[in-house]
Amino acid sequence: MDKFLTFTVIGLSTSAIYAVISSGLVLTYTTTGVFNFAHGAQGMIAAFAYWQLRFAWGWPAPLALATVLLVLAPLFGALLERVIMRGLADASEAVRLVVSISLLVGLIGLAQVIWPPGESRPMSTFFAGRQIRVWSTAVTAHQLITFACALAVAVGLRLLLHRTRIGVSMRAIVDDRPLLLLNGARTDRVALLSWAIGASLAALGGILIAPAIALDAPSLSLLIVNAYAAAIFGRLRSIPLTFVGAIVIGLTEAYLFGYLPTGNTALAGLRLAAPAILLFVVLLVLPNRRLRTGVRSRERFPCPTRAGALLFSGSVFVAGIVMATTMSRPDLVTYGKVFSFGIIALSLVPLVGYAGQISLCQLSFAGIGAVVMAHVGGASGSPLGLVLAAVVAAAVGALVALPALRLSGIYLALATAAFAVALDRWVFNLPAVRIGPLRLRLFDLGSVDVAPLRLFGYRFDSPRAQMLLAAGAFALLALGVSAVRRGRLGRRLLAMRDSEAACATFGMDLVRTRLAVFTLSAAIAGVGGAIYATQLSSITPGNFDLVSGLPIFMLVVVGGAGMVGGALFAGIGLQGLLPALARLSSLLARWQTIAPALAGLGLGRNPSGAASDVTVALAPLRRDAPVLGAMLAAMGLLWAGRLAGAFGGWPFLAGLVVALAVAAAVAQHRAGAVGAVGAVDAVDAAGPAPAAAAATATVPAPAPVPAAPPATAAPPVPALEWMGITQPWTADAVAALDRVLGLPEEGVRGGAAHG
Amino acid sequence: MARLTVEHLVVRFGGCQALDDASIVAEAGHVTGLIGPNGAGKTTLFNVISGLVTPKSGRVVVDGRDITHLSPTKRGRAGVARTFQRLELFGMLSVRENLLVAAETQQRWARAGDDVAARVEGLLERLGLADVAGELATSLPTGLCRRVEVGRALAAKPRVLLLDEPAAGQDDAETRSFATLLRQVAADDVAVVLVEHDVRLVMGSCDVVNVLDGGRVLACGTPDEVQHDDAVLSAYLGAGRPA
Amino acid sequence: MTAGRPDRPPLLELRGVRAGYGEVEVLHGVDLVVPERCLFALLGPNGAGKTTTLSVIAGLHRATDGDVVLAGRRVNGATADQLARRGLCLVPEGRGIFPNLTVRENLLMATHTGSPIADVEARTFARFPRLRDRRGQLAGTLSGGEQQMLAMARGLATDPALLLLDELSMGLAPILVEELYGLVAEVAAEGVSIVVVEQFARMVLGVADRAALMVRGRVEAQGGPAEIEGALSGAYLGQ
Repeated sequence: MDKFLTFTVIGLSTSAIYAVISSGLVLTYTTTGVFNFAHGAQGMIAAFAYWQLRFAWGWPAPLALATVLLVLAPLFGALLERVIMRGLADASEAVRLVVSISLLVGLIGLAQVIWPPGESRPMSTFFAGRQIRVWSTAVTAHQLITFACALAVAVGLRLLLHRTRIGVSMRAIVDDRPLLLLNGARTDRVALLSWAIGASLAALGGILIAPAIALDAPSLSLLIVNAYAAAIFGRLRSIPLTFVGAIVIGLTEAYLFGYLPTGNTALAGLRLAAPAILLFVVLLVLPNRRLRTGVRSRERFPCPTRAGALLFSGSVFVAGIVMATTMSRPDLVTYGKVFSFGIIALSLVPLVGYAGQISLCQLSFAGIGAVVMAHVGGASGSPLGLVLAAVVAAAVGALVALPALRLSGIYLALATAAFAVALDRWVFNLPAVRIGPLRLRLFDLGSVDVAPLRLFGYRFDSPRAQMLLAAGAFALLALGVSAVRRGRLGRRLLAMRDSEAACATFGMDLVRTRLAVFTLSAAIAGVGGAIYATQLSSITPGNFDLVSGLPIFMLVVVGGAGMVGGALFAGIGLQGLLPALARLSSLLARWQTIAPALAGLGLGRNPSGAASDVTVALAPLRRDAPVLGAMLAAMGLLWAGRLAGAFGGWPFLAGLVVALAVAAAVAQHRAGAVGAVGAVDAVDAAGPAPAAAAATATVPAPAPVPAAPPATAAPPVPALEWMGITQPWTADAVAALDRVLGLPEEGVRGGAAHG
Repeated sequence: MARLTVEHLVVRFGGCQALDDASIVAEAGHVTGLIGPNGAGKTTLFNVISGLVTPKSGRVVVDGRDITHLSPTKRGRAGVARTFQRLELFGMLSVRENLLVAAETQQRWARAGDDVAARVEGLLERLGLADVAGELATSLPTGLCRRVEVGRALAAKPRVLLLDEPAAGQDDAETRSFATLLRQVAADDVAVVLVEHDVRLVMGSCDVVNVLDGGRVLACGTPDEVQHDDAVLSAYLGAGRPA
Repeated sequence: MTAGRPDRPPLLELRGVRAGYGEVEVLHGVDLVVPERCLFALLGPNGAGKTTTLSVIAGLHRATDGDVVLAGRRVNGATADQLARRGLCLVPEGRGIFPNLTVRENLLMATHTGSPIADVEARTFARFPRLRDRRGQLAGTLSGGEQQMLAMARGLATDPALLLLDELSMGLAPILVEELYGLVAEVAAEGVSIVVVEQFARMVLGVADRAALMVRGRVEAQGGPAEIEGALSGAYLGQ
């Protein structure tokens, strides 16, 4: 009985903290429609800030608390709303998600820059050591304060939302936002306030929980998965139900902690994974959603031609050969992962880019592939390992997809995140399990060695061979993914993305189609994971956790999830550009974790991603055989020079970039292009798009009406090619066109201007 | 036996009675019109027939088979196709692909010989879409978008074709040729049901017109009969004090 | 009380307004003049674009072309809340209320335009005594007629310069509709300019000063109620 009471008190105090955090999440979600994945990260930053003020600088606790909760956190929340979230009002769900995930990753990175991990930062509880006795158990002062805080938040929110005009306005927004505008309410102020309050609540939760679980950026940020589960209980709307959810989750966690047999390693991780599993279950019992209709995506991805796909894959493989022949051994080890990460990223192209589904657990599928490769491939590196990696990952993918089929958007993202957490906190940490005749081994409670792949008697055991293997596999799979887009399945996926309802009305089997894409995607991720594992040669669960997987998702979307180029972009960004920058300067190395986040935050401006811009920019070059030939010849000479040792790696790279830039510019010029339409777009391109593309991107100007890639019709000049056709041809239109084309202004020049 | 029979449908949204004992019949070879004031329940009726809304009571029967409890997908397989008032085109696919994806769904794996591509090309030609077949569907003006939706529905070889305001956004000449097209489609043994505000299209192409008001069928008859029905006039103009 | 003085600009003027949803253009150049102190009826069959016209006037929907002019000032870019605070009040189609807020909280929202809550309550309850008894009730649980009263209360209690009413009659019993239009006429007599969009044309033509007939995204006719009455059945049923 004592034990029960003790764990009830512990559970309830955790519940109180979850309730505080998740009520803030619900508040911002309902009033602004943005699900803030970074909510927990805000709490984490606040906990660090409090530690800094209170313990590092020795401020008195009340002053430090007041500064963090009443000044820093609300200011930060308001800043986020004003600078980032407001611009997302009409963005697609995937873009919103990427932006808030970027914020999560960025905040973790920022915290690790300011407060480098590895140092001990003790944070004591409030009134440490003091406690009172309730019946037979002790309740600490910190727990009492936690209860009081939750109570105060409950009462305070109740008063705010029912007794004040701005609070009632927050509820009114949920009911009918346009009507509230018609009432004359300044809805932007309402949003600002709710973000400020949300940030304060996250901060309060972060400060209360930090003493219990040590000050560590990722684990504090991911604590929110637990709080998210509570919010889902309230279906992201109801604050009272959110409190109920918090109590259920807090108590479950505490009782599991108290009553699960301690000696059993298989169950140890279950405690940590329990909230994630609960989240998954709660998501599944949510009422069935209606079929989606009318998704107006701003994204536009050109359909790849067979020749274009071959050219792309060929170039990638040649690039792989060039890299393999010119790089030093450590460089080969570092940059070889560009291609294996590229494959994992490639798995997102059919799923996110074609089908518009969201998955945050691709790296977990890769982890499954890696484990299979390690054990089935064995010491000999049998190719059966690679095959089974694909098969097992596909099977698990289908298994996850089956229950998750009813979910979409933010709920699907949460379900897959929960799966990833359950995997990396629990399953990957299981000891070998015996199921009937089958002995299932995972990471063997630590790290597992992976032997190099052996194919037709050849062993890919040097970094050079491994790089070629990865580049070849990427090129082949990219061909396959492009072929899917051109074929029947691709058409179905894109159709389903735009309107499930319309698909159903002519008899398309939505369940089978979704299952197919999840399975395919998981299989690709499994292969990527297996190859990645052979490159690492020794893997741990940490290689495949949720936080490491998030940047892949972000960068694929930033690069353009609908094109295989987007996957390459993600691979280069994460395993090429970042290590290269880190090599250049140690300062950059510290900041490198933040870079992908910045790219993600810029996404709102160009939802089609960078890859489509690059495609547009390079289109004239592709059509211009002589210039293309000259460029390839120049590059070949450079390569020969490098092989002969005439110059080093950096000049070689610079030479290649210059060759590409010059060739693109010349092709542009020869195509007689004067338009700057593409340039507008390419400059807008988020992320580290190749400088060459940005500098030279242009498009044939007298746009052959709708045949021009629709990417050129992005803001700020909407539907340029339709000027004078859908709207009357006015002087304004001419002026706008002139501005875009960079011509001196003239009057209306007659019909020929838009012929 | 009628191709499509809808019997005694009742649908409630919250406190609002969207359909109140609505029954209609659509014959193969006929164009059946469905008109009525705003909020009369026309689109809701379509949503019930195509399975996007579940009725509280009532039946939907196609060729004698009760499909009331089938999923939207299975109804699509049973030959019920539709278009949408607020265009539901596949914006990332070309016009040709929009039709292809529907045509392929109808194709059984076993009969891969069925020439889907030729059928789609034929439809594109017939709907006047051949010139724009390679364009992205949403880059077209509305009138053409409506035709793409009709083409997509036809590509699925429907037995019942539900058209929700296909004339909205089409100009006069387009509307006239569209009326002709509707007659041709119906003549191919299809039951066409048409919700439309454009009186000229309704009166010019329908064999039978149902007038829906307040969720129930107020009148049913030839276009001419309906036009001169007093109950219909007052449903549209209100019975209030004539000035 | 028909037309405003000629030396002042009309209270509301639309010049060649075009608007649509996505690729679908719904208004193909709407021209409309609403004089001061006028009860103006905007009629037409459904799908004509009446509701979209009101949304454009109220700033909820952006015109792709043309001008919206309020009392001589072009207000194209203004947002709905800015216009509301400057005295424009739109009661949207189908219950313009917040169903999950109480009656009192709904009235509290009406105070965003600057009227004190005490005023709004006093004036509302004076006109609709039934609402006083239901102050604490959730608006979504009121009867249809009461909901429409609550929606109109905002228009009546906050002294708008221009009141836009969209389909007051939707889903209500005829007797109630008549009662509501009696009220509208009263308010108009107090000098508030009102634009009424109504499908049941005969109902409003009896009380309107001027009317316009919209068909397929254009204004077909504009004039006195009697002139418009004649054109109605042709537009609605194609006779």
